Amino acid sequence: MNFTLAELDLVDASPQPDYDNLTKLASEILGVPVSLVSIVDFENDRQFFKSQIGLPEPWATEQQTPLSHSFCQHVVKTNAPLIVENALEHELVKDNLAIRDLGVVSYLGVPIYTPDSQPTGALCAIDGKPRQWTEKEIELLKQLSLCVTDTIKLKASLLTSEGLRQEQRDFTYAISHDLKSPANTLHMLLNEIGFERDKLSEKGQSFLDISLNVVNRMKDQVEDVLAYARTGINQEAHVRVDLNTILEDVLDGLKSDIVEKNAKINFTELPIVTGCPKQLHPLFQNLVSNALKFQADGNTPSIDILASSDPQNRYDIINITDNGIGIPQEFHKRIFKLFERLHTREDYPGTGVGLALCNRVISNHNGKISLQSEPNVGTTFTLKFPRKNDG
Amino acid sequence: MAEKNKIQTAMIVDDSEFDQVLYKELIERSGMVDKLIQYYYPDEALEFLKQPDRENVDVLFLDINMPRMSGFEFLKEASQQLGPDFAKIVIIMLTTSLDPRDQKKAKEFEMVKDYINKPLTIDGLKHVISLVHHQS
Repeated sequence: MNFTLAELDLVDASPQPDYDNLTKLASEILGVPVSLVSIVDFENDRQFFKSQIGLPEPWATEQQTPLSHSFCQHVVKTNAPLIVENALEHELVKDNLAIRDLGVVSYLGVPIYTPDSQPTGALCAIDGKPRQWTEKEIELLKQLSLCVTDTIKLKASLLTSEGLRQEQRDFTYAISHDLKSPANTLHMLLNEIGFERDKLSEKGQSFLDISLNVVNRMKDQVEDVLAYARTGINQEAHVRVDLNTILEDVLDGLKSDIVEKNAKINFTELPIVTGCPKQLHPLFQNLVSNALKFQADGNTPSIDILASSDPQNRYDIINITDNGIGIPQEFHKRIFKLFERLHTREDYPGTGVGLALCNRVISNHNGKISLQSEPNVGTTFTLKFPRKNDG
Repeated sequence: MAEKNKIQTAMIVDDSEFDQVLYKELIERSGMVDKLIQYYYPDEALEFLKQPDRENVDVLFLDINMPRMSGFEFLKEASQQLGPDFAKIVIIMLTTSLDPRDQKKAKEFEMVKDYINKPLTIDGLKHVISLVHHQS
């Protein structure tokens, strides 16, 4: 991908420490009062100082000069270092206004490059008196200019990956949405056929039931994938979240299931953590509904949700323990992968998204999720949320 | 295998009960397969195949995305644990996976003779039966 100088934050942008550190280093190593990262913008007849050290006012604040004041433009034009011992005697720059207005007498500049390897500016060292630049000094400045170019490349990579992530999200969202609407239509059509049920053979009726079941599953799947895609990137601001409120909402949503199964739910007071409520809700929703779901036939679910802390008080810990069918050790890694399932949908319905989503949410919160389980006894999922030092 | 357009035993390993119902329907209607063995879990299918006195299986339709064990893991385990006995079975990948990497991976297993996208059709079944006869 190609980016403009503005997109790369190279022109009309505030100074950044990554570039400032390099100009400071250049000035320090070469023993010069002024060092610049100058971006030459021919279209607008100017050079923009992405970073500067030691420049007099008003240039330091304005961060730019017209090209009439630019030595660096010659570095870009020739794609080679410009070495000036005494500007007043140098054919190329002796009439340059930078001599008068910026006090440039000796100058050493080396090219810096855009990610597609075009020279775009210079890293330069400037002194107010004549000086001879040694081979070693030229070499050092070249080395530093590579770091400047690398910083530009890094910015381009970040922009590229951000763009791709956005594209991926848009794509997932569009696909999910476009799948949802035919599934809804099919659902309605099958319901219509349901009104003609008596005219179907027994087999026909059973196929109709299966079809409805399948189309419902498709709707669930699309919705779960959509939820997973939405949780992809953690852009929402983190706030203080009372997990007691989250759990209350989750249990309220699962009420009919809890009543139907006569499930016993015990919980202690939960902590307040820093996070995103929209993500923490599905985290608890999935874990509690799994605890209700993965039960042997006829077993009464009993679920404990207990808060604790580690000995060093670094984490808020929440254990969610059930008396369900358990998860064999060999599958403990597998269950967190997207679309992984340990049972057929007929044995235990589901889309294989839930725990993958939980894993994502926890990692967005810089926490940890783990489990201990014994088949036919039960499973404990452990959530660890890092505590903020500011309390 | 006297008749040319028939086989004796087919096996399906697929976690979707509904797909299995429909395969059974199609296969029974075709009259081309004498017996159908169905498994929903690959690990259970593997246990069945490991029995020394089990019946002969001519063709095995194998899904890829399944609980506990993928179709490829099943192939690896079966080859390791059953050896030449397993290699005699004509394996057909029958899947909704459109991922070209899955097709490529399937080709790496010598016993996989074809890769069919769901749904299974009567023409697909005929083609598979011709593959079985070709093999024997």
